[in-house]
Amino acid sequence: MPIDSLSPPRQPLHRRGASLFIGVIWLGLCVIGLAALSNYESHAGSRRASPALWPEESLVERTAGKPTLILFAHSHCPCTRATLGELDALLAQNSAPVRVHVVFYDPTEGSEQLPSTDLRNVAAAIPGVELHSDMEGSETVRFGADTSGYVVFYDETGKLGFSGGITASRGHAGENPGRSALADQLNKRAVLAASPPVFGCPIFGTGELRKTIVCPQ
Amino acid sequence: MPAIGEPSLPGTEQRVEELWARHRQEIYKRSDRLFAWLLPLQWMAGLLAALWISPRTWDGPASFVHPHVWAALLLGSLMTVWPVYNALVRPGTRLTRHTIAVAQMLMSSLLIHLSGGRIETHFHIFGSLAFLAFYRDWRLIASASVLVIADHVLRGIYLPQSIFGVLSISPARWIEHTGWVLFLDLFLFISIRQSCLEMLVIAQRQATLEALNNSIEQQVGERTKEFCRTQAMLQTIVDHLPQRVFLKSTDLTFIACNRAFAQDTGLASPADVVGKTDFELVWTTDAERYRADDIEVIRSGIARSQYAEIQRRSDGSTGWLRTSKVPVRDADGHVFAVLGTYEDITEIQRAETALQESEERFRLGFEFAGIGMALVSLQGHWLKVNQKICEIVGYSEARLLEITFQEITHPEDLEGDLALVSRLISGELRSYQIEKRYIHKKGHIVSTLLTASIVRNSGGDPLYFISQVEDISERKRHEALQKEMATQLAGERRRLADILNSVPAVVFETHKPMAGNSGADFVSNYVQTIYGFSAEEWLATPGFSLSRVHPDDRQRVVDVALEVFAGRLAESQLLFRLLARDGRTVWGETHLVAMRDAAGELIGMRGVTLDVSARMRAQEELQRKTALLEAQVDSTLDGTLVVDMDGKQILQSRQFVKMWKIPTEILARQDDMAVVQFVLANTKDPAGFLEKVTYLNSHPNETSRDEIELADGSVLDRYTAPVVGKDNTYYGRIWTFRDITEQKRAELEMQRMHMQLLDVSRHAGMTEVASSVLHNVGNVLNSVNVSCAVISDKVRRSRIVTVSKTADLLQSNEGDLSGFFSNDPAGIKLPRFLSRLAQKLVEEQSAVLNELALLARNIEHIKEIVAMQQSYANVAGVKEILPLAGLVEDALQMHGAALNRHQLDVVREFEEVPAVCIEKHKVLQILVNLVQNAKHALSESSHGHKKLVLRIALAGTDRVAVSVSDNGIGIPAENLTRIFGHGFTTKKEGHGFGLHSGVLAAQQMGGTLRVQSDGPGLGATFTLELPILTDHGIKQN
Repeated sequence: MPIDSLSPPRQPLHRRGASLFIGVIWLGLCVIGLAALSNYESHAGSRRASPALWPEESLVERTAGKPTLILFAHSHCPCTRATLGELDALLAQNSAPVRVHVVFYDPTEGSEQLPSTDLRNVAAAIPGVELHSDMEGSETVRFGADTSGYVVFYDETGKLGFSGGITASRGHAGENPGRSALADQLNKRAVLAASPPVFGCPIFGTGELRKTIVCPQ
Repeated sequence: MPAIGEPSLPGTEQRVEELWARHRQEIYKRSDRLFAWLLPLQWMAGLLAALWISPRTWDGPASFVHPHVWAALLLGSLMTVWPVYNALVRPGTRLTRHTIAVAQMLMSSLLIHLSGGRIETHFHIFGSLAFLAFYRDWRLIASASVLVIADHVLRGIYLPQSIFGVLSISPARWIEHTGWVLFLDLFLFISIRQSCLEMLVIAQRQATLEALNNSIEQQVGERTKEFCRTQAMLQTIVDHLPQRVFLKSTDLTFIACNRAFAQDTGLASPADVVGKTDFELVWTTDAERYRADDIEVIRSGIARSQYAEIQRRSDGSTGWLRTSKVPVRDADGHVFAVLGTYEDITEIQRAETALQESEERFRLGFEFAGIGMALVSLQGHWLKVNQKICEIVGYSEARLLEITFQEITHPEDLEGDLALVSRLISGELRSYQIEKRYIHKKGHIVSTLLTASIVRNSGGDPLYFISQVEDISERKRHEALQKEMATQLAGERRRLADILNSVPAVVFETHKPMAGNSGADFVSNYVQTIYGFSAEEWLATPGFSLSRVHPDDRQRVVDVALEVFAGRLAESQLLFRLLARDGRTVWGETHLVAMRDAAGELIGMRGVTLDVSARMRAQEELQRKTALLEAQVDSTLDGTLVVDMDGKQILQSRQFVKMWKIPTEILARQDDMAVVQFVLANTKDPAGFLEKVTYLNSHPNETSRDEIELADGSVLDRYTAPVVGKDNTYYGRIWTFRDITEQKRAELEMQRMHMQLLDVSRHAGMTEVASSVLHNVGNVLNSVNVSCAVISDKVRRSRIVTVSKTADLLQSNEGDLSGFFSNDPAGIKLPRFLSRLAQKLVEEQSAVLNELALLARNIEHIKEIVAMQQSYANVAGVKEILPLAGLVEDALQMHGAALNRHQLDVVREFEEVPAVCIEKHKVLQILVNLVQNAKHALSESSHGHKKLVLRIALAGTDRVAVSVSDNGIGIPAENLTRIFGHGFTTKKEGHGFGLHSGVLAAQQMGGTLRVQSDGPGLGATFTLELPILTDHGIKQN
């Protein structure tokens, strides 16, 4: 018996061509889909300038002579989960003294206090991190944070050393230039301040949805 | 197809290819189905992950469905639907496989996005490659890997941030990622290749197994057909067997049977019997018994064979069955059925009963037959024997059945018997009868009359022999006895005739003519030897014998014969002459005896005639010789008496009568005892005389000579010798007596003269000793004379005169001695002269002193010799115990000077012997003589080494021998016997007394003196043997 006879009956050439064609189309669509997904994830959030020196009016406590790192997060942003992961890894690898704060803001209306979201639980699990609920959003605005996952770093002198994101894209864990720049600041390897892009959900919204927050002086 | 794996059977290559391809195709399809499930699951998982991780995205206070959720839903479905469709619609195609591989990689990408780029999600890529390896198609791995590598390479080059999160990336980064994928691919390729090879091996094995299976199935098919044929054939055979065959299960229901059995049950066919039990068949009354037998066979597993049993039939009759039941076992050995067979043996049973009765009659006739009967196999084994034959051959029945008739048949009869047996077996003979011998158990021979016949089966094949054995030993013994007696009688007759014919006499029988009997006359063949007529000639003419009687004797013979025939004379002896054919006159001595029959009637006479012609001639010759002998005996001076073997006097000469002075009246009485008494009365020692006569009578072969002294003083020399014929027959004894009275007187005189001569010889020996001594002394005196002459000469030539002259010279110069010594030339030389003179005088003195010492020793020697002679002279005639060695040394000492002068080598070989008791001077005399003779023999010999050997040794237990041997001139053999004779000598100065007196002296001491010499020039040995006497012996002497 010829071996070919064991194979499924060969389709006619045109049908095989059609199948192949469909396959190519199918592959193209898939690639396009993935490319679109990738494009969405790699779109950086908006940002504003952060104070070059530690704002003394800030409600976030700072210890004199000790660097301070603050992460600003939207209470429901799924993308910030990756940022917390990067922070956790960074702190785990860092030995320099630093005071770390995570400031959550919930832009949703009517809440008296910030909900105990999953994201908040993740942050609370990071050792040495102080959680804060920025009920009014004033502290978020004060430090120029506009996108969840925004990180500022002030050295022991209160000078801004880093401002930006520490993920490669939205919700994408893994090594990235932001985290590396922050690590350099923590370890005093950087001379200049860094400001990499930040990837996450807009804290205050965009367009018509944007919520205006007046930052108290 | 790779040329590896196990070698496949020839012809299975295509099948291997087919199986291998099918196997791969099955795997493809199975894997397609697996991914048809897996892809939707992944899709669902991705959707759930998206919903859980990032269900919504926020824009300030507002939230929306997160793009990940849409991507998971839409893009995931796009990635899933098409490959799943292909897997379900076109499973196993290459396009399907590759679509699935690409979809799986795309799904990995989607999931990585959905998981936020978690590094763990990247393992999905490697897991997917491993899943794709289920296809065992390296091309799929290659397709998937190419997609992943292309994604990394392209995005790494053009959009590094999208995949690595950085804007610029080192090429090593995507190369590293690509390398890990290829690293995994390498293992997967190896694994896939190994799996493919295993698939190939499986295909080869399956192909081989299929080939074998086909072969086995083919064989099984053939065997099945053969089995079916065999079963059909067996069924046919079983159905047509006369025996009934049935098969019962262990619950005793019938499983099968043949037609004959079904007929016995009264049912139509074997099928009707199947499923029934014995209780449901016609033999309900016997069913219980049959079933009991079946149960026993099933329980024990042991077959019962060929046993007889009764069967009651439906018609009320009973029959006999011969039944066998065999357990039937399955492969495990368990009994699952009973196979039974039986046959109707009613008729056989009836015939066997009749046969048993017949056999019983035969057995009784066999057992109690008057003769031995036996059944014997063709090989000779006793199969059955009766008591009688056991008694004949002596063996028990059991023993006889163990052996063959050949073993107890006499070897001489076996061959003939076996020849008849062969003819019997071949049919040439129906039976045979022979006389043959058996060897009884006890070893003796039993003669029998054997009648043998053979029994054959219906086919004519021989089965065994019937032997009838009759013991004819007694008859044979009688026949042998009669035969032996007849033989003995004929032999006796022949022997009698031979004896009569060999008797050197004529034996004859003559029947009385008027007796009316028909007894034939007889004369033995010797009649021809004596008279020259044959027996037939002698008997042919009546009265022939009387006609041959010498005319002078005929009447006397006739008278005696008539007396015998008349019965008045029972027997008679006649001496008469007969005339032979050649005219000779033959003297015959006939002994006649009257011959009577059993009733005592006189029927003739029987006689024996001996030829006595020679005897008659010898008698005449004897008479003549006797006369001559008597005359001869009477003519000798010796008295002769001849007696026969009984001691009776046969002949006595006149001289005998005269010598013994036997009176005439005694002689006239011819009474031997009277003569003996007279003789005894006239001897001085009648007892000794009679004893001698008695002894000689009991020893007829001995001769004797002695002297007897008669009462009147005369002495008779008595000599007797047996009278023996030429054939050593002892006839008697002859005694001769000679008067030696005068001779005895002369002998006494001679003995006296001999003693005188002995003394003279002894004195002569003494003289010899003395002359020897004097000779020795003379020799010494010669030395003395020489010494005296030397001394005399020395003294005569002594310088002592010169001393006197010197003294005179000094005295003449006495006045002026100083001037003399100073001025006078003589005075000046005198001191030196005196010195030399003194030296000379000292030398002379020394020489004279030496000679004087020699002279003194010679004189001492003479003194010793003389003293020795004196000591011998003093002890003469006295016996004493002395060591022989000392005497031998003394004898040598006496000849010491002569032995030295002749330069003889004197050898002493003295053994340890006891001291002997001897007369010293006699032994010394002998030894001196022997040594002197030896010295002479050696001095006359030209032998270079003159050797004299003196030996002392034991001669037996009671004698000691002293021998003197020399290697001198020796002694001729003719002189050895007379060397000891008186006056015999070979020396010029010899007297012939030395050895003679030595022999006598030795004899007087109870010893001997012998000589031995091998001839002239070979030396001689004289040996003196002396008895060893103890003190007790000395006293007796």
